Amino acid sequence: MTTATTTMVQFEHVGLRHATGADVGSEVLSDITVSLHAGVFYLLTGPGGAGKSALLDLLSLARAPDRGTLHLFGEAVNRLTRDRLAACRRRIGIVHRDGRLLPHLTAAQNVALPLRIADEAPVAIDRAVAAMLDRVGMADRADALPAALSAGERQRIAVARAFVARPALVVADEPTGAIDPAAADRLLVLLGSLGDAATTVVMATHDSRLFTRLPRARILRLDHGRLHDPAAPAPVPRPGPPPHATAPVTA
Amino acid sequence: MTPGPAPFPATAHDDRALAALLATLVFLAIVAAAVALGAAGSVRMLDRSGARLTVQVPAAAAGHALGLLRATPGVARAVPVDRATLLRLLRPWLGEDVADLPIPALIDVDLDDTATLPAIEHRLRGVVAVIRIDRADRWLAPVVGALRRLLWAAAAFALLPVIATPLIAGRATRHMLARQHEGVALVRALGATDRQLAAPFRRRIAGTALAGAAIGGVAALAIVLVVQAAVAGPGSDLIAAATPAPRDWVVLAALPVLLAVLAIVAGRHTLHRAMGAPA
Repeated sequence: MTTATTTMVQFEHVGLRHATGADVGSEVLSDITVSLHAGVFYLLTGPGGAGKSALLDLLSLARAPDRGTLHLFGEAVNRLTRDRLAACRRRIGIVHRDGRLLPHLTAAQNVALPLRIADEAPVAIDRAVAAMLDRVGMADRADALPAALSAGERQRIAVARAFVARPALVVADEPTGAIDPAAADRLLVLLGSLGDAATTVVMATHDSRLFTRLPRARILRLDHGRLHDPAAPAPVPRPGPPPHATAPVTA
Repeated sequence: MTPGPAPFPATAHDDRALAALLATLVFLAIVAAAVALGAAGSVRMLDRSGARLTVQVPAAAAGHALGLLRATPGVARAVPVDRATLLRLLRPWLGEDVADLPIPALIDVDLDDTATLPAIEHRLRGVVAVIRIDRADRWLAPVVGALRRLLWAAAAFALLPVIATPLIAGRATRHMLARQHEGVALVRALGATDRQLAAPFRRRIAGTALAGAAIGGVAALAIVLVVQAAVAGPGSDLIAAATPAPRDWVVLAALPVLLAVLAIVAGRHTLHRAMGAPA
């Protein structure tokens, strides 16, 4: 079993430039040096424009660093072949701010996507999807299209999709930003409980209320593209599942 | 990827538009190629006719000239034109007493490749003082020239779809990818390889190209067949030569396959450039 001190991600003097927009070419992240450990829940915070989404882009392998070295699962991402890059992405679950479900697929079909991409057997996919939908409290909406779901339900489906393939790392970009506080609380419980003990979760948020909701989470504070005091506290294990974590959650 | 619902939904409108465009291009290519091949057949037939002479000699010397021609190297065939037929043809122009006029005898002569006209003319003049030799290629030359121009124009017209097909297929593929941009980005983020991402698009391009080529090909070949049947009646050698020969049908039938392959290759090349997927 992976211990809490196993390094999952390692940034070494990483820099990233804006790829588009008015600031194209200027650095959005500067000299980021930090290690993220297995089984730890990280809250990535900072004001708008601080570089949270850029850091998540690096973690989800949407972009590669312009400067420095990023090791993910022990591999330097700059040196990965395209197929190896895809294989690494399959070990990462992503929850986008807007859920980003494919609109023509049902909830269950959306959740099944990572397993289909991984060439899992259809029977195993059906079993895993049903179990995951049950855990996020969406078993009765399995056949619903995204357009028929509420914002909170769509986010729960997105969370189920992120965790269904048992990823080593889950990256969530302000997943509670577009839903009401009660639904956000339920979503936080899910994020904290769905992975196994070695799953690392990095969640970007500007909602300081969440710090008190997740007191054991490690805070990563970004400001103007720099990590504020990244090396300070020693990593602590991700909070264990709350008593109700395995029970279905309702909207 | 495990089979299941397509992550990138096919948009029927896009597929129909591409299939219709390819069908039109295939149709035009086959019709233009049929015209080009027909013109080429006519030119070949008239080129063969160009090696034909009509020799006019005094009627009294016809037998002697005929014997001499048949004995001349390079003469494949020498046949006298039936005098009764000749007089019947001339009667509307020269009157009922045409038989009393000194109408020359006509001998149709087919030459083979070894014949030289001056040698034949020299040999004939040695035994028949008054002769006239009409070469068919002189009066056929304007017709052959027009047919050659038609051949090249039709060939160029047939070439246009061959050039346009990969351009259109590439553009349609880019359009298809642009419409699915968000879905592709998401599935890539979930860990799909370039090959997995490209596979559904490759299948769609191939299916659409084959459907378009089949529709355009069947329609065009049917029309060429109908036209061929319609012109077969009069029994003219020139018209018969202008319709596709058996080997021409092979060329015409190969055109839809060629254009479908071009569309598929262009689509895959575009995918390769856009996604980095192996073509």
